[in-house]
Amino acid sequence: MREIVRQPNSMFVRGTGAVLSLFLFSLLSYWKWRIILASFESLVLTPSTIFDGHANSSRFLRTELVEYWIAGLAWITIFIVLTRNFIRVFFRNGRAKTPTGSNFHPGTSAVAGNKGLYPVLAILLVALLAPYLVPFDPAAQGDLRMTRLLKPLDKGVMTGLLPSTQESSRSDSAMGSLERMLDQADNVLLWRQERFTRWTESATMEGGEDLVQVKPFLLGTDDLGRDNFSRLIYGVRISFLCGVTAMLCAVFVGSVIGFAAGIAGGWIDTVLMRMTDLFLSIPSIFLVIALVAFFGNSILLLILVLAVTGWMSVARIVRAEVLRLREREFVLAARLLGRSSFRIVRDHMIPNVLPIIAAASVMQLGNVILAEAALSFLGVGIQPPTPSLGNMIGESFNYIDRAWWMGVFPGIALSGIVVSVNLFAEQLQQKAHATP
Amino acid sequence: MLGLIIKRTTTALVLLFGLVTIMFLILHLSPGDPVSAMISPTLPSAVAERLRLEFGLDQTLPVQYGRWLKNALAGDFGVSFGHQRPVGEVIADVLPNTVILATTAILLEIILGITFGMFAARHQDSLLDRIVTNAGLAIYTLPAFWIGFLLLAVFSYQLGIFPSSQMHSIGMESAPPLSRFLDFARHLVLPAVTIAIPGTAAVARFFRTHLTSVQQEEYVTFARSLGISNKKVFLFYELPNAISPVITVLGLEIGTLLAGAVVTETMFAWPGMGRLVVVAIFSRDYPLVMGCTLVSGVIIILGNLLADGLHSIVDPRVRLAR
Repeated sequence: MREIVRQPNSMFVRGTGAVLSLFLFSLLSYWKWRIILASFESLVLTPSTIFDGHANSSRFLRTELVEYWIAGLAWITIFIVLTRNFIRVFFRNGRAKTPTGSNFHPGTSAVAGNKGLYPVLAILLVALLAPYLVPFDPAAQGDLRMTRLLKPLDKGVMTGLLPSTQESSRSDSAMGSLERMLDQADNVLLWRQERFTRWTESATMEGGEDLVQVKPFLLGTDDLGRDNFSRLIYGVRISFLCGVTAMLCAVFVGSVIGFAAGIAGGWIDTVLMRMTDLFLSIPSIFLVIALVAFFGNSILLLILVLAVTGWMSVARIVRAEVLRLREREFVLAARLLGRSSFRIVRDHMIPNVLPIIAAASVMQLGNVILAEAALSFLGVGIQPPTPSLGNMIGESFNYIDRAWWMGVFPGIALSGIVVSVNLFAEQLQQKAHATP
Repeated sequence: MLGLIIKRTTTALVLLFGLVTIMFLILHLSPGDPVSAMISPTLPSAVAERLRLEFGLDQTLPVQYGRWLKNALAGDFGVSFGHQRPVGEVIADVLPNTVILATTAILLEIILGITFGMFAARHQDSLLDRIVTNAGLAIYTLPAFWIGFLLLAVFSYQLGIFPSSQMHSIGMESAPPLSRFLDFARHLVLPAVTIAIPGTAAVARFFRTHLTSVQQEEYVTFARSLGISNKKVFLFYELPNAISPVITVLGLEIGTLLAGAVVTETMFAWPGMGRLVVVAIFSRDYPLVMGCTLVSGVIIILGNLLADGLHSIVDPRVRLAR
């Protein structure tokens, strides 16, 4: 039994975090309830129409819809976690369930309960909830004459039809119930069709009063009249998720090679480590540029290339740790008892190496995000019109004398991400090395 | 010692060989061919065939590789497709520019980094110390292209102090040497600072950590108890011991510096190796890419060897351990 002792926090009353996060979450939900509702509708309706075997089902299974589904699932998860946290703090007298049985896991416990986790978690949430956070469609161009290179906080006017009114006009037509369901399933995409222009006092709207919305371009607009803030959110999403995927691949490869070298020893170890040295000595940016420039630049290839050039440090760290563990008493004892090497690795080595892998992989995440941004900046990474932090900064160079907001904010976001990831990695490292 | 040198050199040569082989395979296994990228599609195919023959691209892969390796060992890296000149000449033209840029940046890193780190360690918990230790990590991770963006926006476009690109102003070729040099120096400032800022933060933070731990060693206390002046204690007892890890870091930094130069040179239109290699890759200039890879591999390996050598000069324990 582990007694949870809550230390009085000097700055906050107990439960401030729970209340504040729930409040912010409900504010977001209230602000965007229509699109959240629509994405749930889509999430439920689209699979059901596909299972019905409707002839047109391929029309409704669009890749654009997937992000709304993911965001919807993330929304539910956050809702459950926050509510549980709230109830736990206020109705169960601050007592968490004590961890029982064998749920204790060194890898998880090394990551959880770490202050540095929160900024990284927040970035992950921004990435997952991106469709709910953007005030404008990141790809939509306004009236170019009016909305090009607007300063931050200049106002824009939405003149598009809001989905509720479109829906009513659609249901007038003679449609079967299934057809109507199908239409509702991609209703969520109607947000994509919003049109906007710059707000002026004399602006007159065609659509009628209730269809007009005035919103500020928080971070201005870019050279094509797109909202910079929305692009930034989507850029964070691409950069972060791309980085996480590449990091996971790199860590997997690195761990396998590190384990293989550390356990096998002998000539396998020599060959694998020479290979690692070789990859370390390549100026990886040449390799990456060459690979991406020659083999086309899909995001998948970019992730693969970043993984191929990023596994070496993990392999070295894992190998060193395995070599160290091999001489420890408990491993020797296990070997003496006649355990197979597979079981020794599974039961004795992996749990002990996990905290160190966790620290190394978070450190690698920062590097991968930076590498991706540098590639996108050079024009060989993620291609426009998909926004990524790197290519946003790259594009801003053409307008450096006129529109500072185009490059400054993506840069702040990029270094914010990398710094919070690295701080988290540093904390993990301290923790991993503190435990013997 | 001699055995060590031989061993290190052999390893370095094997690494270099592997590096060149990997790059060759990537270049030649990639889809698309350089000849069709070079000439207009309206020309008869016989022209393309002749070009292919001329460049030796009609041979099988092992033959091409063997031929390149044989020529490279003899010091001939072939003729660049794009420049129509020997690769060695093209690289020799731009390499000094990169070396100047990198050297300036490294000097800035060492001087500024060690100064900041020293003052931070001297005045612990002062404002400077807090900046070095806390903001150091943040500054170290700033991407080069964003630093460049900010510097360009402020110093080049808003204030107009430093030029934004190239190495010389137009019409400076006939100017007297002194004003030519000043013009060159003004062009050098922004790219060098862009490369140096993250490195400075790293060196300062690293140096500060080691200096504070060295200051608590017994030999420092002992030296002070002998009545040796603070200045001498710092110069002869603390500095040599704290500086040796910094040297290792700087040696490893050379690779990062080259990689950073690719972005920085592209950004500031600095005619160096990094920009050359980017252009060469995009125009599928196989011999030039191979030459650049070889040269940068040599530089990185030499940098590591140099760092090892310096390390063993500064720190006798390293020599004894081997």
